[in-house]
Amino acid sequence: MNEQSTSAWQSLLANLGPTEHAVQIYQDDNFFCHAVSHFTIHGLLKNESIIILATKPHWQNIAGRLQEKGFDVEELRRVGQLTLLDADETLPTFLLRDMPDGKTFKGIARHTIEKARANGRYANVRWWGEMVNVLYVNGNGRGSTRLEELFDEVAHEESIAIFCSFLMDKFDRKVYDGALQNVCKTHAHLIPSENYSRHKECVNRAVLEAFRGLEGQLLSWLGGSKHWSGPEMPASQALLLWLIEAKPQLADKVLSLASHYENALKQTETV
Amino acid sequence: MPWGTHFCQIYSSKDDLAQSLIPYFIAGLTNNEQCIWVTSAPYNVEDAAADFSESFPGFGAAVKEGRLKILDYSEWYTNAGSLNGKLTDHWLDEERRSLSEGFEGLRISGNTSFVSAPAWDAFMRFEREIHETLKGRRILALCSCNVTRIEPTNIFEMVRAHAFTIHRYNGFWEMLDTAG
Repeated sequence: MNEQSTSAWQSLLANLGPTEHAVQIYQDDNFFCHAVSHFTIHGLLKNESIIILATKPHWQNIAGRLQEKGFDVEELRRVGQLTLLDADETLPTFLLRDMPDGKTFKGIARHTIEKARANGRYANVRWWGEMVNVLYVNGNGRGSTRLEELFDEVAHEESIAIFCSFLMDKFDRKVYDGALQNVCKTHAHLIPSENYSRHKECVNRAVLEAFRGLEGQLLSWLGGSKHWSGPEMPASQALLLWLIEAKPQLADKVLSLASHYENALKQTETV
Repeated sequence: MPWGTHFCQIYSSKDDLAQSLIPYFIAGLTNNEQCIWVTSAPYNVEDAAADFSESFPGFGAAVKEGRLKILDYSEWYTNAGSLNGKLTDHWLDEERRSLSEGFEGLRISGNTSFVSAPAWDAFMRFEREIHETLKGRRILALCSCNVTRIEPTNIFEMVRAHAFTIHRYNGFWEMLDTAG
């Protein structure tokens, strides 16, 4: 992975400010934990307080990365700069018939944030959590979306930076049936890939292949994207979301080709 | 076209550029505007000047009096700074200078074909910045994009960073934005 291709999302996560709400979609745990630990480390370096709401296996992976970078996780927890909560244990405390209860959730969130501020010792708080993802992968899409909405409100009300992660394949046609669009509605920034230049190359090759012989249509279609809006994301990902809206009949082909090109490029990079 | 308009053309040949940019600048000269044309491949300064002089009898005087400047992108880069520098400020300085010299405003055009792949993101940041900056200014700006060299994601970004986009189809220039 070259520096240039990763710098955009790394810079975003390093500098995520109060009220900002970012999300990554991922498929492999390496990218996932790399992003979360990057977000955490840069918060710690800025003397911010970090709240992590993780499942046990993911916390072990993230904690290992923090320790590798020289951070004493236990000491950070002891002094209150790092707050760890278990996602699987916390979720049921505010779910009511599979839907998050806003009042209970916000009560828990506010209490946790207030404690993390440690009487003003830490001016800024960063929160990363995967409860929304736990709901999503367990098939509770409505609950997941509602919880994201609540998180977005908390980010603004409490002026904290929030980062989320979703286990989603950016080239899987099914995630474009509403799940990814819902994620877009509640976030200001979308990180779709660990490697933006590879993502761009795959999407460009796939679009050109799918539109072969239809170049005039391709231009008209791209021209129609003028008023499409969404969260901040690489143009190649925005183009895929626009494709689903404007040319759904070509979406299967483009996504399948992009996935094929990505696998081929990854294999080449490995060799 | 109202002042402050920042728009884009998608072209596929040198002829597309000649057919659009020469009339664009003739209109500017007729309206007493300062005209600056920043060229790059496939339309170099010499070819642009030769075609312009054939189409517009006042070409020589316009160049001599400084009302029309045709510059190679490398020359313009040297004067204006890099994409990460003060390019937007450079155009605002040109606008101030043009107005102080009695012109109605500034009419400019640039061809994006010189932008390399690694510089693309910086270039798009500049395009988005200048799109906002030009609002309310006495500047008209036309950016030219070569469809045979540019990738779909880049066209997607260019369309969204300009007020509107035109392309030549069956010999006629059409707006892209209303198409689906």
